[in-house]
Amino acid sequence: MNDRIENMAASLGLPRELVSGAAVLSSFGDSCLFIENHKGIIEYTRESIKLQARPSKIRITGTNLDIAFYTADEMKITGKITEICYYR
Amino acid sequence: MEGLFRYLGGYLLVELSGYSPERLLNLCSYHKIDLWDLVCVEGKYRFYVRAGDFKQMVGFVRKSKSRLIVLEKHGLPFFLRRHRRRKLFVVGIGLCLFLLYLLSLRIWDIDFDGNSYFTDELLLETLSEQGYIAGMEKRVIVCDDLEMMLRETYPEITWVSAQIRGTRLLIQIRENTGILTVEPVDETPCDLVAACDGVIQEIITRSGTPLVAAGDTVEQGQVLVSGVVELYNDSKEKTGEHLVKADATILAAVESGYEDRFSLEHPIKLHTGRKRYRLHVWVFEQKLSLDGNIWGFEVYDTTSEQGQLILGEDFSLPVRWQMDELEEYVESSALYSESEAKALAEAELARFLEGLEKEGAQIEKADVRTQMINGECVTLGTLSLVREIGEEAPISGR
Repeated sequence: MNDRIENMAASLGLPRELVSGAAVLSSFGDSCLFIENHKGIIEYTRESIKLQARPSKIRITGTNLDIAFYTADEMKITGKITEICYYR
Repeated sequence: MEGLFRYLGGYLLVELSGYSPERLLNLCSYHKIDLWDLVCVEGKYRFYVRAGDFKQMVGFVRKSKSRLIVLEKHGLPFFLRRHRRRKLFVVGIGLCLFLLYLLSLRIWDIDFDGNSYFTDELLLETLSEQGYIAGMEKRVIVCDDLEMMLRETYPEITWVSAQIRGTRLLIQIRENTGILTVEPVDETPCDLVAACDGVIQEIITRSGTPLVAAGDTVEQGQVLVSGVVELYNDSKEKTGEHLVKADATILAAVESGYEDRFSLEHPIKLHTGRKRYRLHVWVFEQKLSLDGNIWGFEVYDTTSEQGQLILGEDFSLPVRWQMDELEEYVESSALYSESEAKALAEAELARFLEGLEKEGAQIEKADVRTQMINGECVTLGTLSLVREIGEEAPISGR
């Protein structure tokens, strides 16, 4: 179903993340990560942050992880990021 | 800008703990409550939230079975509440801001740039005569009018630019001191007579009748070029006279005496090492200071330093000061040594000769001797010069 919607969006020239609601991650090196379209925090410690997102959950691991800001649509994570993992 | 809004609205540093703190965070994001600087410390979360949003958060606490503790309060509402008992303090801040605003409406400093011939004091006086003074309202200043007034008052000023920056009136000036003026020529008939004794070296007559030639010895007051031009007919008979203004270049060898004497004893200042300071303060151009010689210094040197209170670069305030350093001295006298006196005498002679050269004289020989006589340094001698000796005088015998 999702694939069909994404194909339709692609043929109409619409941004895919807008239609599917998929999380958009932008990072600056390994010290700063912007996440848009997240669906909430599952767990937060200074070594790992688990996020609810579409189509799968995201686990960010690292050290000294802080959340510089947290709003309904986006968040910014700072610290030393070592791994970004997508899991079901 | 975001930071300013947060400060004005107030914000809190909150510690979140309990069974499911993440749930409370998600409830916040769902209800569009912004959180920032979220840190996990020993299993507890600390973050900042706006004071207005915090009231809404309290409702979520029970739902998420968590606990909220306010650690710090920041921002203007909390600042005002903290100082609510110090009403005068807050009123003072308000008055201070209002006073600054009032001060910013006026000019408190007038600065000139680019002037070398016309002093700041002279230009300030001219401006004050026209009503441009420190303390005047900015809105009444028309820079174009001020520029035109300065140009009209001083034709030597070729370009003026006036601008208001903060509470300062900056006036930039370009001067032209090399303006040529045509002096009216006096055409009254006259003779040229010898200004002093000498031997004519060269005479070039442009108008008038020359009465001497090169090689002639002349005395002071002798007519060199007559302003009377006699007219003859073809038979060489005198038919009349024509009066002209005699004009000629007459160079003569002249012997000129030189004498310079000064006492070897001269006054000197012996500084006692005692210093005092005197502060003058002007507030709104009113002088507040301790004047007068109240410290018992009879004679002293004064060194002054001036300043003005300025906020930032261009916000001059109506507070000026001048710090005088008074250094006491005792008047005494000393004697020049022979070598010092000779050096001074030589310097004086060199200055005198330089002055003669500027007047167009050529110095052929300077036969001068310096001697110490009765406590005086006496320089005597003769200068041999070649110089212009013609000087205008009424036509003789008329």
